[in-house]
Amino acid sequence: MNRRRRAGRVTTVAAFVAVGIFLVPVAWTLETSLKTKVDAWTLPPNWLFKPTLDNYRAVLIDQGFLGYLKNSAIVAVGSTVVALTLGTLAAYGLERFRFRGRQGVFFAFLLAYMLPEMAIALPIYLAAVKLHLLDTYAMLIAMHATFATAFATWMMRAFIKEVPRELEESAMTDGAGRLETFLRITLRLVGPGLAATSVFCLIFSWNDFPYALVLSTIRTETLPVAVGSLKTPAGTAWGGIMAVTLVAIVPTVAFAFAVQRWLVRGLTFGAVK
Amino acid sequence: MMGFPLVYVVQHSFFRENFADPSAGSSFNGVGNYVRLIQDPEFWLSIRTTVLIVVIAVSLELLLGLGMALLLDRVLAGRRVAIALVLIPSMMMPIAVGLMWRYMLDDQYGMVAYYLGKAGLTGPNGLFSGSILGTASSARLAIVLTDVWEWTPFMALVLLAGLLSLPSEPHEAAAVDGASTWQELRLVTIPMLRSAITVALLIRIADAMRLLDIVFAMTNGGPANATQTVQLFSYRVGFEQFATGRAFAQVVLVVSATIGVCALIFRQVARDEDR
Repeated sequence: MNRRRRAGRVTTVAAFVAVGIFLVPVAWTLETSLKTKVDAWTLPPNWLFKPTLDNYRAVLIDQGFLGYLKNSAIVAVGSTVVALTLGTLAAYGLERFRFRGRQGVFFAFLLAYMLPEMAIALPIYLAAVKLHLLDTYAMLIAMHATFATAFATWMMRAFIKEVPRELEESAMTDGAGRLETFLRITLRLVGPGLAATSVFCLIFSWNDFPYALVLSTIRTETLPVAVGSLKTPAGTAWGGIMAVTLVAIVPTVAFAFAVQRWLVRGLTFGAVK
Repeated sequence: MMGFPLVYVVQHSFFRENFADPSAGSSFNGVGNYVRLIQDPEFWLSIRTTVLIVVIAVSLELLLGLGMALLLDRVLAGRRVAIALVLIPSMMMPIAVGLMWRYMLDDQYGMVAYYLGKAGLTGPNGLFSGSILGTASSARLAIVLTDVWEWTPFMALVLLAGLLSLPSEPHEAAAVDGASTWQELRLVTIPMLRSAITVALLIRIADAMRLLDIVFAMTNGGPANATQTVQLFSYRVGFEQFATGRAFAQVVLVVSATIGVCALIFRQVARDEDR
């Protein structure tokens, strides 16, 4: 028994070492973001330097990244609200009713989420030009919502499936209508599912680069596109880029922590609990 | 939102069109766009590059992810914290991941490049001469490893969820029968994990096939198209050359391939749901 406990301790240490190795690049990023340009360019890296927040000030205020953050937030929240509403309704219908083509709808949703972005970006771009919707929040929200809805439907279906039908049936026997039952019984019971799903929709929109690259140009430029445009060749202000990188990942990582329990389910479309 | 573009794409893939030059008009071109695409070595190179990256990266992710899942499964304390921390790379903005690694691999300022040079792996007498991201083979390797860094935690987490849901009796039986750790893993654990492994693999393959962001940030397809993935090629044909007809022909081929992979995922997921 003693040997087994020692083995357990060794594994625990090994696991944390492995985790630590994966985090080294993030730590380096943090370190660089706190360095002045001269320090960031010094090799071998000098580990004793005076930390400064200048990089953060430079990118967020002087280079207007607060504006890109705002654009990203508007698009992320807007598309999540749309996707969650449509996705939950679609999931309820698909889970509680049996009809022809049901499997086909599921398949279409999965496909929508998995399609290579550039495959649909071009026709969508051409349509946006014709409709004068290029570089508007509405267009990007609609685009993100389309894919987030597909994802939300898959995920909400897994949660709705776990609500016992008997509960809904007994509510309806007591005289509640289908809509009332859905709103007052089902929706309440899938609360955590709604939270987890919305986090995944937010992360998807927040991190999306391809659609935003094509559909948002000046006024609605989102964070990933702005970050991507920083990759100028020589003489790059790496400290600033690393500062933006960290600012960009804070919300997604924080959200992911918040819904840790449902993370795997979200990552696998509800296939693995 | 999805049906319209697909119909439009299929229809227009048979026309010769260029969005940047509307005066040239649109003329029916039959399968001309497809023929031109199939004869384009750059297209085949992008497919080869993508397949190479997907195969190597996803295999490494599976191996490392399985290892990490087995470790995390046996952790005595702090598992939640470990999971939360290790998941950071997979939750990061992919374009930012690309930039981060580009910086670390930069020959002039990058720390990883510096230490690799010190270790003699790069540089005049090393395994790779020339700059890491400026040499075809090492640039591809760099992209593979960046993808591995970003997505191994995802793999580990899905497999860990699979491990945690397994019953303990078979393991106890194996221990009673005197199976070695390796035998237990190979004959008991991995077979029982099959459905979690399949789901994780299929999702990763579908995802890696559309690799774009980190390539865009790290090499922009270079040097000499050595790291140009299918998605980056699509982007270039469609949005840099505005050769819409040709871009659409390519889209039709890529979408057909995606439908194939999705059908596999779907079958797997649906089968698990029905059990």
